[in-house]
Amino acid sequence: MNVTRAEAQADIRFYLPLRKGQRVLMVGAEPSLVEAVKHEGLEIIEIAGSTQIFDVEAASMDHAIVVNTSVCMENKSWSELARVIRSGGYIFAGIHNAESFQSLIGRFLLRQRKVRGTTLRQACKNLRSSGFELENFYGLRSDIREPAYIVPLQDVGPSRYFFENIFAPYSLSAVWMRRVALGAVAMGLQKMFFNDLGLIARRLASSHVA
Amino acid sequence: MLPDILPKLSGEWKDMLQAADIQIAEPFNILKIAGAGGAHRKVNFLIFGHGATLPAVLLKQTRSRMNYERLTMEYESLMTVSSIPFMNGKMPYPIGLFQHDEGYILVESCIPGRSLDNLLLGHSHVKHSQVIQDLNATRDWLVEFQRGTRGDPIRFEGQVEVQRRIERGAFHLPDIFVNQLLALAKSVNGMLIPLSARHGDFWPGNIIPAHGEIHVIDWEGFLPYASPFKDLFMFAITYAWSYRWKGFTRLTRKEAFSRAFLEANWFSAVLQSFMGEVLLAIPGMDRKYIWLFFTLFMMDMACPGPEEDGMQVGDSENWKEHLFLFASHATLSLDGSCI
Repeated sequence: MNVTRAEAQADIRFYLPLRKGQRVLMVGAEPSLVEAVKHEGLEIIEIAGSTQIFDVEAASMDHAIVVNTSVCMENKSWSELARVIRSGGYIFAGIHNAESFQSLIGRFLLRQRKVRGTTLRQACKNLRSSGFELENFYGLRSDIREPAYIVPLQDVGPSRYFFENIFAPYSLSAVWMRRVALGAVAMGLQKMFFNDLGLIARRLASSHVA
Repeated sequence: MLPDILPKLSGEWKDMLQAADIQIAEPFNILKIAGAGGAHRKVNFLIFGHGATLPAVLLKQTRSRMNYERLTMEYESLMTVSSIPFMNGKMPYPIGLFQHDEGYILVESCIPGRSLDNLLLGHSHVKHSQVIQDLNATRDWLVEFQRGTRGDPIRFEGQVEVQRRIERGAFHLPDIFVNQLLALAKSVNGMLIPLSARHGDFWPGNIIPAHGEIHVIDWEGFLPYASPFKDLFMFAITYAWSYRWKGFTRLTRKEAFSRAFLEANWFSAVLQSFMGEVLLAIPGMDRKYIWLFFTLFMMDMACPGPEEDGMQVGDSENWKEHLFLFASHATLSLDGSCI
């Protein structure tokens, strides 16, 4: 049976310590993810974009899942997310990777002026300054809407294993891409092969925020 | 959820992992690989220890009762099959089946490596010599697996079985082909076919070649006693699908099927030789029955019966298309040849 786009996104929930009765803020999630989290017995506050976060009460959320990648491009959104998540709560934040090969090709070869997304470095900086501690980050393949594969990127091993053994080259260009990816992974550049990234971070207590 | 489950790997499940000779260091890395479809889908996670380049264990997680039954079946299958001496190290080792909150988790050892399907997709293992090596390794595995699990035989009812399948699927096949098939079935009426275990999803995506042998994963469709033809023909056809390259051009499934079973070339010759050798290892079998049972297998896939329950049969329309293609172009004769 084929996995549909919506079903694959529902698996993001497995990466957070969600527990029955908790409250989760969901930003831009597919209905399947919303349904799956509801099915786990959690209460959901669902919003589409960053402007609606302002309406959410401070420290009222146990966790947040932000699937709308444009939200995490705005500095203010991070501090708003930090405001609504209680200390010790978790956030899964999806970002569009501005340093992916696809983005770099757009910028340098196709001379696209507008850069989509944000860099991992910038996102980590925003997370820290807003009061979060990064726990891990993942490459989402094919993208955040359809993450059939969620690959941990902090260690080289899993990415290498992914491109060596799991990545299915369905076209001749993908056969070559796989070879290039394996070379790049050996140099620690694995994140460049994922258009979307998922960051998991923990909300620190206010006293720990620098 | 996983952050609550993973500490068990170094806690309450640690002894079971050590008994299976699995060492895994924290912090763990989780790689989600595509799971099955459906609302309460089963999801598979590979767990890597800190700094490891290979996964240590595979976690299969499900939240539904239906998938729990499948996981239980898979766990029991792994327990049964791993006790066959020949299978030792050639399949995942079951660590345990656990309940967590309202979900269920099957933990098994991980067989690392690139599947045969993935290799073929990546234009590897496509040379004549490599194809022969892979088919020989698969043949050896399948013959040993069936030999090690062989049970009582069932009587093949010849024409009745052919007719029953045609009626069940309401297949409108060319009369000439049906008559040839019935004549072939009549010649083997009453034959005893020994049952043996069935993997149930024996396709190149579940086969990992390593050092001239194969390892087989994903035992969800296992049955202890089934027809010995299912795994054989499932593999032969899906192998032809996976081997889609013609030079650097990719064929459609239909074209790949035609090349493998309806044309005369080196690929169809080695595949036919593979099927014949596996068939010959079944007591009482002869090469000339290949195309009879091959056709019956396609009928079963095109219109699955009770025995196909649990098999990953895929799209029945696709199988039906292949069946009609075969019936329209093949000429079966009583000596077992297929033109």
